[in-house]
Amino acid sequence: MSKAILEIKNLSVKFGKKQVLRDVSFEVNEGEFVSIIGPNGAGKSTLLRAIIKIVGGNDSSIKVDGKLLNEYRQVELARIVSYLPQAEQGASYPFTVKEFISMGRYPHIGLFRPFCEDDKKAVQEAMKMTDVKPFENRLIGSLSGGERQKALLAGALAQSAKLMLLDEATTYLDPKHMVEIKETLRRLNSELGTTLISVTHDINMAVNSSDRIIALKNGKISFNGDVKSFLAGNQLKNIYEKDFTLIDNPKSDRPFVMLEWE
Amino acid sequence: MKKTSTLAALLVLSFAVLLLAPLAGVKPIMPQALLNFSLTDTESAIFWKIRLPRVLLSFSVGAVLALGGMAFQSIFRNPLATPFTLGVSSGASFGAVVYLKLGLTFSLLGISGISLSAFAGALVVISVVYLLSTVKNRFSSQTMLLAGVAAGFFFSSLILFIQYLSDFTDSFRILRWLMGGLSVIGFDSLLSLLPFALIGTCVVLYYLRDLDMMLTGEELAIGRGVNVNGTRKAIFFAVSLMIGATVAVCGPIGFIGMISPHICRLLIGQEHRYLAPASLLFGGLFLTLCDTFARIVIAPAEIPVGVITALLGGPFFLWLLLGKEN
Repeated sequence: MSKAILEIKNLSVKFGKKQVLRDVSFEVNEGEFVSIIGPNGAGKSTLLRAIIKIVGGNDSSIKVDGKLLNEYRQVELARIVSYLPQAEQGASYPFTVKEFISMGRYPHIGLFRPFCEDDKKAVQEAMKMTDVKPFENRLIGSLSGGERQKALLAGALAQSAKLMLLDEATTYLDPKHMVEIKETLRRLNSELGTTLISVTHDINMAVNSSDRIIALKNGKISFNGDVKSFLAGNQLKNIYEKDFTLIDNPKSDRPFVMLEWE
Repeated sequence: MKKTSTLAALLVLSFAVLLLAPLAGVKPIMPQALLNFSLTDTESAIFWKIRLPRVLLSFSVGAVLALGGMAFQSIFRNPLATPFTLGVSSGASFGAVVYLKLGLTFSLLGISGISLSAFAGALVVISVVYLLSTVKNRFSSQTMLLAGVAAGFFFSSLILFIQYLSDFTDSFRILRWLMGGLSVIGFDSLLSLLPFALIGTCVVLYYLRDLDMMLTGEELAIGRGVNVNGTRKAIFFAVSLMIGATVAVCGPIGFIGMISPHICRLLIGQEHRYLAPASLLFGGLFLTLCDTFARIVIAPAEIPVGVITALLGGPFFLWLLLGKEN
């Protein structure tokens, strides 16, 4: 029985009068790849933000690696959990790819712990996994959307955390980059054993790569289970209020999910 | 490496200017005379009591203004955010103007009353802005930025109001103070500034890596383990106090805090471990040169140094900015 790295119990989040998350409870075990899906505004991103303490005040509902959130300083949490936020539109960070990835080592470096060999190794490893070597000296601002997302992923990878939270990591990407990022994530999960929680609108990505799917709707969990039972039930219709068709995928035992439209 | 050599060049230039600037003036002092200890009494007094303190003060003030500007620009991720645009200097000026208007004369521990009033004014603004930005229980940099701008305008209007009510003499004294100036005698002003300058500088230097992270946005910075709100508060207070202290000593000297860090970014890039020392040196260098220029160009009269910084800085900055684009 593997150990729970994330335990969420009765998490509720309110912004002003709006209840964004209500009574959300679930656990994620070490080594799992969990996708979180749901309509816009369902509270998916807020859920990730609560785990990483960007949205505060949930110290007693969330346990990471066996300890309540309030027992962590931000920097301690960052050694266990890394976070890849939604692409910030139009933001151009004034750093080169390599500088940016090196900054992923932030939580491991301190006043008396300078950047050392281990850090260099982690940065190199992250660059190799994401294939950003060819443009390591270019400014983040000068990259294409796909290259940029790879660099951002590499930055999170360099953090060497055992739980990674991804917020729409493959949105806005062309098919090639989408598949490359997906492959990187799969290797990260299967080879390095990193636990992944990925918020996504790409149902096929969720169905194809994850072990488990959690669906959020109106701030509540409407489904939590493995991919097989997700596809077996009438889940998609419930969540998105649209009809979907499943088509066999010749390259995988998991089917394609297609939205039906005229 | 290019960045290191740029820093080294700035360092050498700074030393050169610090050595040469005290010699220049209405009555130039010969370096040989200084080295042979053969200064006349007048020359010695001019050098040790007037020029040297003034040059050291202008260098420190310039350095501190530039570093403070850099820190604010980075924590707010906004090139226009400086302690000046965020009301600290207006608050300090208001304190000083009230002192001048009421015709008060007092001093405490060798620090002049006008400095103390200015400092008090800065403190008021800092507290008000801080309280305003925490009112909605979620501390936000956006609110802080707007609160600062609003407080700045509010106190500037109060200053205008007081000036309007004043007679010509008071009004002129107020105006002259508002132009900023570095004419000090002896080392008292420098010494009263130094503790604030050192503390503020140390706080900023301690958080250099956090500042790097903040340039990539709040979410990413928090994800990497930066205590964004904590860092922002610490820097806001330390820098505001430091800038409050400089305005108290020499009036509001605008522009340096905004353009020096920018120029340094163009020269040396965004990484704060290079940018911070570069800003310190460049700010110091720039203000010292401006002040020396202000002292000698229409000697024996002086131009208020605040006028010079803006006059020289503006075009220089534009030239760099446009040159870089091509």
